[in-house]
Amino acid sequence: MINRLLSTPVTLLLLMSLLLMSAASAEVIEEQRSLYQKVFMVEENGMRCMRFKKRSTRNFSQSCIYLADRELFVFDYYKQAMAATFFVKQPAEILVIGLGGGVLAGTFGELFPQANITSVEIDPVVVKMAHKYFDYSDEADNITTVVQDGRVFVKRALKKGRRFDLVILDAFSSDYIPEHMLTREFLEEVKTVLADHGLLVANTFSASKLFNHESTTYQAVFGEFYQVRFTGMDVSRVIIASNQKLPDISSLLPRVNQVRGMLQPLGVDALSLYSSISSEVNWDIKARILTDQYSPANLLNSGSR
Amino acid sequence: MRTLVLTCAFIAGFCIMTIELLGGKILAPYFGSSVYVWGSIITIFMLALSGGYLAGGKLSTLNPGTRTYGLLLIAAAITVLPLIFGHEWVSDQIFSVIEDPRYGSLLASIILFFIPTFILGMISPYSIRLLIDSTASSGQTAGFLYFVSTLGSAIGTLATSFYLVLWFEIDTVLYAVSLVLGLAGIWSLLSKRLEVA
Repeated sequence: MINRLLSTPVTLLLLMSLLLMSAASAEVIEEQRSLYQKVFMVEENGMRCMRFKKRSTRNFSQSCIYLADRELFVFDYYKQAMAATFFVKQPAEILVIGLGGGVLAGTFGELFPQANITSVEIDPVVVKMAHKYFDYSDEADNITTVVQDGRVFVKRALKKGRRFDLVILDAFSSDYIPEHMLTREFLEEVKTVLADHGLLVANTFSASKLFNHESTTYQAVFGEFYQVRFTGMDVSRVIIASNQKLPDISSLLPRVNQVRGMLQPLGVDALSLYSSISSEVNWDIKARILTDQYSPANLLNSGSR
Repeated sequence: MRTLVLTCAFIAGFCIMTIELLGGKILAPYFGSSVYVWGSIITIFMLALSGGYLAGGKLSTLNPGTRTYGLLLIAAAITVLPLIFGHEWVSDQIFSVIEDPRYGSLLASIILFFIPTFILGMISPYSIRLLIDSTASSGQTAGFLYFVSTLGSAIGTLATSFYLVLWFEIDTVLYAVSLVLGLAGIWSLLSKRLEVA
């Protein structure tokens, strides 16, 4: 009895010190200043992460991997982006805007080994870090990395008549998506750069007032689109849109069953992912559309929803 | 006249920074928001202002008066207009011709911003000339004018980046810039005709 009484606080103490140790174990393994930001590589809690701010209230990392299992997804939005596999079967050309650690580019490369994957990243230091710490590789002929502003790349691609079957929008600064990549004009450019029945997958947040403005802007350009959100989880929302009418959600089920095995090693349960796709309009439809003329995204982003 | 000149110098300072900040947003869709786009914009603004200071100083030696001053402000107002009507077309053309966004944004900055900024730069030395009444106090007068016009620039920067972009479209703000400059010019033209000896 005495032993048990003693042992409880001792166990608690042990647990607490373990927790403290793991919190203190956040270790910056490399930091480098680039033209755009300071890029931090941090290791903590068994994860390796790329950050643009050393500390932030949201603990906002750009990219993370588990050191023990690099295949396993850390972020919800990685998982949500895998819903793309329900819609596209054999994309020939994939465009990823915003490389970060290269997690999504790498995963799509493994899921669609026959596809050409072009990743656009504005910050050369980020590309360097992706190679060094995230096993990102563009050695293969079908993998290309372009250091350029995402919007400029899309405009240039349009002029050259290039088309993509799958476009992933994942360009983030230390705050949010850059303002000129949230506007109606940009989304129209993206819509045009999509091949026939091409699919757009966009990583967005749903925490601030900007959520409404982003949603009405996507609606204005693409009409109906789908959202992938996990209930009660964090703020990640992945938008799925196309230049054609999207297939009914219920018609995706056979394909969901096909890709189940493929997604499992990533820590993605295809069925629960499927059930988190929705066509619901859950935003303020009167929110002002973002345009090249009006895009105070960062100011709107600071206001709560 | 003191009130007129100080107000106009304040307005000119305000408008310069409003145009410069909106310049970044005007070029971003075509050349991105990379650091070199800001580099281009700031370079051209600095060059235009330095040329404007030189020209404004020179002009102030020829019959300086509120009439010429007013015409300068109206010229600034008018040269902002092609920026509003033409920025999309100009950026689009340059985007087609020049692949490198560094030189693309530099050329676009020259075409879009150089002339209005040059004329706005002429306002400062001309204002000093209108205000100065003795060599002994000339430094003090110039200092006070810098104070007023730079304060205008500071407030213009803050107002534009904090509020104007949140409330209005870019072109709407630029129309307002043109209107305010034009009204300041007309005020100067209508004020008691004054030639400085």
